[in-house]
Amino acid sequence: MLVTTFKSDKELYNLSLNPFFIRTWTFSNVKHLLLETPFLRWLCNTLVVSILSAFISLATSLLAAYGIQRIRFRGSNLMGIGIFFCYLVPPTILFIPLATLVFKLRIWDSLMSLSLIYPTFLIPFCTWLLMGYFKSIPKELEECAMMDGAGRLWVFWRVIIPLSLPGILSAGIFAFTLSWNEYLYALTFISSSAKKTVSVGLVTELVRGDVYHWGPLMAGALLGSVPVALIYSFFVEHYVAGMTGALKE
Amino acid sequence: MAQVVLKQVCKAFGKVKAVDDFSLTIRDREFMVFVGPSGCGKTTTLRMIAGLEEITSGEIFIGDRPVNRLPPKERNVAMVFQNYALYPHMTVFENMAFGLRLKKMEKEEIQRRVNQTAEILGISEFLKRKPRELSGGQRQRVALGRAIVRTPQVYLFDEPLSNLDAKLRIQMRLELKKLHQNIQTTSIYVTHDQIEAMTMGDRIVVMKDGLIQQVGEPLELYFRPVNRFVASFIGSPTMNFIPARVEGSDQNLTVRAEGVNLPIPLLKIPALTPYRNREVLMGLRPDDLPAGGYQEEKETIKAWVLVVQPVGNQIFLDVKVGSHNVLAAVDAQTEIKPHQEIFLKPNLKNLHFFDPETEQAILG
Repeated sequence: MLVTTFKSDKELYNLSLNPFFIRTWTFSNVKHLLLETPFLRWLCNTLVVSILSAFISLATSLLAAYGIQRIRFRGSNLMGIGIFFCYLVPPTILFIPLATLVFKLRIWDSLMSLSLIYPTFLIPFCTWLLMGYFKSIPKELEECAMMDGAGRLWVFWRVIIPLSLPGILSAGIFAFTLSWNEYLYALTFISSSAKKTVSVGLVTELVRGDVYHWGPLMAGALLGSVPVALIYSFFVEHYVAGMTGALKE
Repeated sequence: MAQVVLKQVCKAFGKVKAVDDFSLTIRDREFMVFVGPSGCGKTTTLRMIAGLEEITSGEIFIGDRPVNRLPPKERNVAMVFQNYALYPHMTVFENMAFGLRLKKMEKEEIQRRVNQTAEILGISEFLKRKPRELSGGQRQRVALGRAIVRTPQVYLFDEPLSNLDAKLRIQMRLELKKLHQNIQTTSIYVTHDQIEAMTMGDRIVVMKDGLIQQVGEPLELYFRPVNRFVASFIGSPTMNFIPARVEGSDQNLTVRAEGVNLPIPLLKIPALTPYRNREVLMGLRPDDLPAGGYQEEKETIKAWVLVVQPVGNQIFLDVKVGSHNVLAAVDAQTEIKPHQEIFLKPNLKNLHFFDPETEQAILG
């Protein structure tokens, strides 16, 4: 990806050269991508959609996971399992009914459609992850707070949320990455070029018929993965702690 | 300060009755201990008083208020948990101030109260630390402090010392007792450790399978257990039981078993008369079985020594009396070796008798 980004077409298609080396560096691919395609717009769109859907998913899953895990109502276990099963339904089956829904809501071809549809697969996943995390928080902490005079919401806000920050971060990063990389729904629900996300925009605008513009494509892929890579490296410590569900005493 | 009254309280989890027909009055300023093996319902009872567990039937009063329907925060009780339940993301000060802040108390007042409590418990220097930077004993003090600082009507302790090592536990036991003497507030303390119960409680409730077995002052439970369970649960090492037979004439009853032929003390004769020529279960505490000598004498029990365990102030002897294993605590000076015959001279006035079927004590 990196090598192709900075290679000229001439060099790229010359099979006698070593594909891993660059003879003359060129920024023409990056230039082409940034100036002749709405790549920055796509990047912006993807960012907006990812942040929004991650946020919606987190807010919903936090409440759902807490409810299922701690307010042991009748059928809460079944609900937990049910939510997990939702995650197992493949998007290829779901996109047609979801398309009808998007049409009826009149949000076709808008970023709102993706921001609202992505949580359908993000919420089950985040809920499941957070449920596991909440389980590792001793119940006594909540009980103690309640005896101290706190209500449920207060406990949730002041005790549970601060203690599950690593878990929330992991869920958030996961949600963000999954939305960032999503392809199928973005391809189905968005048609105008200015509203596309990176994953769809690159493929639809830089593959013309059977002509692949490899240089700009790879430049787009490279620039598109940089934000995710940054987020990963930045939060990696919390992320790992979140995956193991460890509450450090 | 308040008394706590439980009237016929029951708790069922599905079909299993965790607590059954629990009626008890805990007096104002009393230190009451619930003791029993795990699963006996003691913690469930405590949690019902706290409001953390709904009660299936019955009534609970704190002071004069019925609290059945009150949420925990309105019961004005404070609880110390087994695992301390300190908020890991808050400093010691914040942990202790948590409840006061929720009560919307003035900042200066909170500061004053927390500092004062920290002083009493000797944790002033840790106020700015997080719980993970503290040792087990210090965390326990913080947990105590968090309860004390709120000055509730009733303190509830759920096995607060069981996560500490043996030495620290004894020290904290003493401190808790001192603390109670100072603050004079009704306290309910749950433990499975009978020594803790004996040393700390003004009164003790012994529980088994969700039922109260006996309520009484520590020495009352020790000297006058109402059934075999209480007799075996209270006291360490545990009481020996030997099946025996009551024989003899009216004023001359004796109790006999293999190797045992002891006169029954006068005081106990009336109660044991109905058991004449019947089996009973004789209970003997190891401490009431001093060594008599190496020759048979009157009122002694013939025993065959299996194992000798010196513990310093005493020697624990595992002996065989007839076909029964018995533990005797003899004087440290006794010269004794395994596989030797010895005659134990039981303290007759401390003999206990139980009905072999109902296992209830035959009290004279």
